[in-house]
Amino acid sequence: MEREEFCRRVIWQMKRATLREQDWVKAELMGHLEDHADALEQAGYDPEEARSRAVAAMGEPEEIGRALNAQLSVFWLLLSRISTVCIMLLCLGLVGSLSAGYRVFQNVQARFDPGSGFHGPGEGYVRQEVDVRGAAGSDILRVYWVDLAEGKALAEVHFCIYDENPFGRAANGTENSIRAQAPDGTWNRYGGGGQGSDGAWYWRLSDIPVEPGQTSLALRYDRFGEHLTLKIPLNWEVTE
Amino acid sequence: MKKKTIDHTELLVLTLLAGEDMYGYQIITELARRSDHTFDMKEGTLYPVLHGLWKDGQVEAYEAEAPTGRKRKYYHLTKKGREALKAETEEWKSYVHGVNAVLSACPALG
Repeated sequence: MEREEFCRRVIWQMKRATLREQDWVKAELMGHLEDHADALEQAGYDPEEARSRAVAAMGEPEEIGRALNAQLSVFWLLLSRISTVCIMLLCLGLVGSLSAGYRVFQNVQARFDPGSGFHGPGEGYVRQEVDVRGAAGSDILRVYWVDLAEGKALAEVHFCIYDENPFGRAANGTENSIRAQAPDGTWNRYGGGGQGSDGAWYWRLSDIPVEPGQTSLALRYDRFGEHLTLKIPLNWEVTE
Repeated sequence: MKKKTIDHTELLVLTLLAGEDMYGYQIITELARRSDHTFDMKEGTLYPVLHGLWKDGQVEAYEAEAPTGRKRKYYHLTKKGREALKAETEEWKSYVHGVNAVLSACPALG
């Protein structure tokens, strides 16, 4: 048996030991084995046989490991394990608290300053601020910008959704449940882009066909059995 | 009656350390030499004994550099260890006295 294997088999029995205690024991046993092997080499044995004899003289590694393990306190090991679990739970709790705090921040921002941090209108579009809100269940859908294309009969609508409870989670996937009414009266889904998280989701519907001079644009929200229709005013004077 | 096997080893280790600080392999070789190889224990079994004495405060450990440059762990007898050695020695003498008394009274042994 090699020295490393001897030590490994001793340590394996020390279930109550911390990693540091295992390292100490291993270092001490290796030191002993080296001392004995050195003495045997000085007595004329070749290095390999000296190492082998030193290991053989130690006895059964499992018996030694069990005896060492019996010396260790279960209490401190349990305490260290419990402490580790408590610290992990505290960290998770802290992360959860931070997450909840950010959700509230997003919710409040959606109520008072939804466009904060977002880009200006696309090239060729003129932006107008609006504030049209409606409730669908516990969700509040708020349209805050409408961009009208200069010289083209197209509009972009910017909206956000948040929970009426500041601590609540906003419904995700809302963009799939929003339809805009085209000039021919049909309700259609339109592409766009968005971002957000639990506190509030933001979405932009693009390339919505409108007629010049059209005074309002209707949006419809159908989800989870909740229905909502919003009428968004269009001010064409901003494009003139 | 106590299990003398365990106490033997502890008593012998404490006795050796009363003379000087020693490291593990040194304790083993001294024990074998001074007892004329009567006590030729499996060397690894020394360490549970040493750790038990250390845990009980009867010995303390420190590291020092060996002639080879490697770190060695030495054991030193504490005040508590000296008191325990004294008590164990008295108990051993009493035990030996009792055994000898019984043996000497045995007619078959002359």
